[in-house]
Amino acid sequence: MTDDRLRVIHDVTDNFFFWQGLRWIPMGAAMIACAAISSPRLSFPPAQRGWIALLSFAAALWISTTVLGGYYTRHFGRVRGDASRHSLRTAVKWFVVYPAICAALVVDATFAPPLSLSGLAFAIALEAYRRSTGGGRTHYRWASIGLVAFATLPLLGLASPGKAMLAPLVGVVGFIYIVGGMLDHRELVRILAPVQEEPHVSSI
Amino acid sequence: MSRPFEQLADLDRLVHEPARLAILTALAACRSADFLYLQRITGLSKGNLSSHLSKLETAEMVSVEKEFVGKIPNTRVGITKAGRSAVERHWKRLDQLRQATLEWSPETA
Repeated sequence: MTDDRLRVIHDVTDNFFFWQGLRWIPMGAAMIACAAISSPRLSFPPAQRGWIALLSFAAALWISTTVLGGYYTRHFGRVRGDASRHSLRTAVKWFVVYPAICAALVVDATFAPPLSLSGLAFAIALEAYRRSTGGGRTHYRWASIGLVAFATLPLLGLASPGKAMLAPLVGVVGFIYIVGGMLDHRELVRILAPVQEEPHVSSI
Repeated sequence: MSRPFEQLADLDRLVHEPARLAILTALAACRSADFLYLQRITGLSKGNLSSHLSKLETAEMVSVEKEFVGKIPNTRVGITKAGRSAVERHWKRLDQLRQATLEWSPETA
């Protein structure tokens, strides 16, 4: 049992909920659906868009918690986390990260800066998420780099700045949820050993 | 034997045993974990894990609760205060020993 293995045991247990990657897939699909229905090419009336978004997220939440939560409990077991260990992370999430993302979205929609601040905000938030939920999972580092590149598209003249970037950004983040979630799950399966069967003792 | 190496021999064997250290390390990171999770994170067989948990429970380092989730029996394990102190003390000791062995030389022994 090496130090590295013990560190992984500690970190994965400490953040077990966040490593259950399949849970993120329905949310990613809902985000892509919302991005798609916001496209001017699909002429959904605004009222319908609201209902579709609401139903998509409600379905995603149900699938994530009930269906996939049940799957992880049955196949990987259950860990009751210690919330007191992560009060700083929770505070930073609610008082720094989420407000920063909201502010960036408002600034992008209102002032259309040449650099997508929302894209940058999501990139930073994603790296902070990776580090604060057990590290590893280098796919999120690559996703953050991808988001930074996405944020520079208006600057490079490859996309219109401002509101036009927001729906595609939501779609990109949704894609990251899906691919990241699948890779998280693969990483978790790699870390957690299959259940060992007891050796069968022959009576002969 | 010189000091760091004598101290290595004095480590708490109940905690230092690799499987039990893995169990305690996992439990120190949460409020409780069920038997299936502990099996998967440690890679131990059912019998092996039960045996180690029994030793740790006897030493009052873990608490084991058996309950039903619906109709399915479920064993939940949590680390006690004594267990948490023991594993934290053990890690501290290992860090000190690591430092001492790095600084050790035959001349200063």
